[in-house]
Amino acid sequence: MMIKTENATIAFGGLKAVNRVNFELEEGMLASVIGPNGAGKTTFFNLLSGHYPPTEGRVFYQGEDITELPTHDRVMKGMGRTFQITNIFPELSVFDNIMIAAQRLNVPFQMSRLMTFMFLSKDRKSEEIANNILEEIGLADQRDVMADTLSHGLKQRLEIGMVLTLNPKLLLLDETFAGLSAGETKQQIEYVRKISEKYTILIVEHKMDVVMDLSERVSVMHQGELIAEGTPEEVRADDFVQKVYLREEI
Amino acid sequence: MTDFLILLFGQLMNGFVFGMILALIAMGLSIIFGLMDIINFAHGAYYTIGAYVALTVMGFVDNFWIALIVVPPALMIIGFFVEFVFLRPLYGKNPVFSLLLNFGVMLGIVQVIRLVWGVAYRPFSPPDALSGSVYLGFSHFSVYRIFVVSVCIGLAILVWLLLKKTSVGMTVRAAVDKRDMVKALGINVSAVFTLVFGIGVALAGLAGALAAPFIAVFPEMGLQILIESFVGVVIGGLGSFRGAIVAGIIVGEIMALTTLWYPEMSQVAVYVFMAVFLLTRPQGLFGSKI
Repeated sequence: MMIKTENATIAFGGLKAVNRVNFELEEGMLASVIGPNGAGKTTFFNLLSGHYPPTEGRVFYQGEDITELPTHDRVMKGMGRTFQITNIFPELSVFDNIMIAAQRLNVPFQMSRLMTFMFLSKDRKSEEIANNILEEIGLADQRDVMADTLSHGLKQRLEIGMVLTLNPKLLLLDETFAGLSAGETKQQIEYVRKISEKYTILIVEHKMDVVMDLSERVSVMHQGELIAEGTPEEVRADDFVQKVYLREEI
Repeated sequence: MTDFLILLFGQLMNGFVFGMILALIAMGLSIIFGLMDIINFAHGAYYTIGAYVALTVMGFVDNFWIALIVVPPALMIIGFFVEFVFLRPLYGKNPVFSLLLNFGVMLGIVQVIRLVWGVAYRPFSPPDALSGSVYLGFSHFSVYRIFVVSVCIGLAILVWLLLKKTSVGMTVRAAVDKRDMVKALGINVSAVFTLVFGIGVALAGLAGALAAPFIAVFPEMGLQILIESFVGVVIGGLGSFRGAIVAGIIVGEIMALTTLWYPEMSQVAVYVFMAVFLLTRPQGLFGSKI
């Protein structure tokens, strides 16, 4: 089991954004969490990544209880995530964006890095890692371009590249297809399918056609609760899901 | 050169020295605000502690250079402690809490200083090697003040290099804009906060130690300079590193030149300038980025 939650709950005051969710994801799987706005998908994602601690319940990663583990420690254990709103560093070059990830400092506990007053160009090892990732995500040609000038699709790709730099085992992609043109969406689907051969992937997504096309397993959230789970076909056939959420979209 | 010009240049130099001290304090305030959204009311108190730590070390070893070397790490440790113990539990809560806490820390520090070192003004002499004056072509000028300016410029360059050219600085700048993404890259943002707060406090402490020889050391010495440094931070642009330095010098020069022509107005002039500046350019000289 790659990741698992037991009765995971996040309450903001009286509102339960995530309510007693029991979720499991097998290693090597490409799965999705769907649901309309306000269903609690992104909050559930934040719970998995450690950005929000659960009010109740437990979170397990590869059998280990990580409920109390802060985000940066989960990342070092192999949990990578991207964000709904692209979170690249616009004022840095494509290369430097990857370099931030490649160096993955743990300031100030790696004092040796501070002491050596490390200039970016001198850090050959990180540079090599960054160049390999740029090749892998197809952005090597745009190495020195300011990240802000990339198309939205390539910004999404860059963000995934930053996360891949950290050698994740589990990749959490938050609405990675949002705002992409039809052409970009197609490219991104192919890209996610390609990297799913190497990583376990969980996607939060609005675009139903993309989710149904791409995922091996789909989980549906409604008002903070998990109301259906299964293969895309099983979810399509679920009466409640059809009635309440997907309707003619399926 | 006429007497007036000699006086003017001398006063401009004095303004520059004081401005660089303000810049050193404002740099720390600005970096802390830029990253952590904390208005550090206790910053003036760290300036005071810096002066007293230097004074105490001088009492033991009678060596100014050792005192100057001891102050930054000592203050950095104090900064680490305050951030870790008092400020960290308040992150994500109403910003008024940290504002009040820092105000309390400031009052607490001043009282502790009164208890430990007493309320009397304590003289602090510059070292013999820096006690003379040099002729600058138009007037004599204190070697110690030239030394202070040189150290401040050196530190400003060093902090700029740290922020702009090192991976640590890149991480700090990244955390200013995209805190969640920095966490998602496996970086301990809390540790970055601790480090930045420690650096800011160390800069304030060093400013206190450097300023001690041309002002007497007393428990409330940090209160006035804190307000003047805040004026610099506001004029420079909240969170702007460049702005903190440039505005610190501007504030220093305004005070020095007003003293020359209308001494009674020297304190007020800075606030009038800030008010006019806020009305015409509220974002400050350099906006809000580090």
